[in-house]
Amino acid sequence: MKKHQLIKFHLYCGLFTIFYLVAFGLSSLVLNHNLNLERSTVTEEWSSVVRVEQGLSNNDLAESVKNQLGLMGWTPYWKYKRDSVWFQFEVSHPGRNYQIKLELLQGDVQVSELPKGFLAVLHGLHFFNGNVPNAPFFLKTWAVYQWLTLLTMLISMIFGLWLWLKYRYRSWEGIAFGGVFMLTIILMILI
Amino acid sequence: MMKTRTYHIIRKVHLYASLPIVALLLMYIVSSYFMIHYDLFNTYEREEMITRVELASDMNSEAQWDQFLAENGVSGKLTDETALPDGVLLRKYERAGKSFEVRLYAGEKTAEIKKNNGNLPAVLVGFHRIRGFEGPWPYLIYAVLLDIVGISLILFAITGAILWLKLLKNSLTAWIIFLAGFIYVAAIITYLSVV
Repeated sequence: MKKHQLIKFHLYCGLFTIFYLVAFGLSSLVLNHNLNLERSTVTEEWSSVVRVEQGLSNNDLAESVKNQLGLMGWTPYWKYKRDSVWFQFEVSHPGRNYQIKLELLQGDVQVSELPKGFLAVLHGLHFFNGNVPNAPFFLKTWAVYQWLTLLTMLISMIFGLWLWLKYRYRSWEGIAFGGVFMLTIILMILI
Repeated sequence: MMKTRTYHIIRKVHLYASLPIVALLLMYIVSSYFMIHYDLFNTYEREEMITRVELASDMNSEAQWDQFLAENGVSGKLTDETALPDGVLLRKYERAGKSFEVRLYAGEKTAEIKKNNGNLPAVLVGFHRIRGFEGPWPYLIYAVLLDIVGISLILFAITGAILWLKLLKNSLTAWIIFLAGFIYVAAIITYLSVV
């Protein structure tokens, strides 16, 4: 392969992964500094009525209500609160939390919506694999995009290194960046 | 038009943003694969070992703790310390692919040590997950490197886009790839934000 073809291929790979890199760069900084980007403001409240099957466990009841309301997300068990009249729980996905309060006898439901905000969603892509309960097919395609992006990143990195080594290599760069590479490996052994 | 000197500077930034993070980026790519396919590689399975030992000191100082941990093969960074009922003190330590729980029974002058060992994919996933500016010095340097990775990824992507506009601005294929990626990611973010 000629040099201009290599550069072209490297650029195409890079263009495919560019948004993933920005999202993950930002997310890495957020995680390393333990920042909380999630908003916690209720933007919408609505109510509905659902059928309550008696004798269901907390988890089954939460899933049943979530499905009847047509909501997408997980129902974290540590958010369950139940007494003889009320059952409270949350439905959560990378972009939004729903706080749900169910009246157990009549099936009246009050829902509060808390969008997490753009930055939190961008950060949430770090942990997102497309497998959210009740997600449409479109969201599930993220798993394919993620897999392709990892592969493309690897190929792009190999081509980029090859271009550097073949056409732009300078010995001081080799020593400096080889040193950082070795330091990283040593640190990984130590941690 | 971009001046030649500016173009060379941007190309250098692109190169120097990527080279220091090669090892970490490679680890991220491989460990992400192990995380996505955790069931194939038993990434989250752990081999558990519990031992009970006599305490040689009263464990009132960090120096005594350090000696105790070294003698009993416990290492990593302290992630949790909790006083449990009945005067039991629980300390948790973590390192890549391994975790330790030490329960100190001060009244009985004994301690229980629970060690959890993971396989090679678990170790790689451990490298992926370790973060934050706490713990012994290797963890602090690692955290600095992680910050460099985050900044480099953003710089690397931005300078890459600028270089593309300089080199392949008129390439239809490049525009299609760029716009397809943008529209797809924007649609995913919008859907998650709205629904």
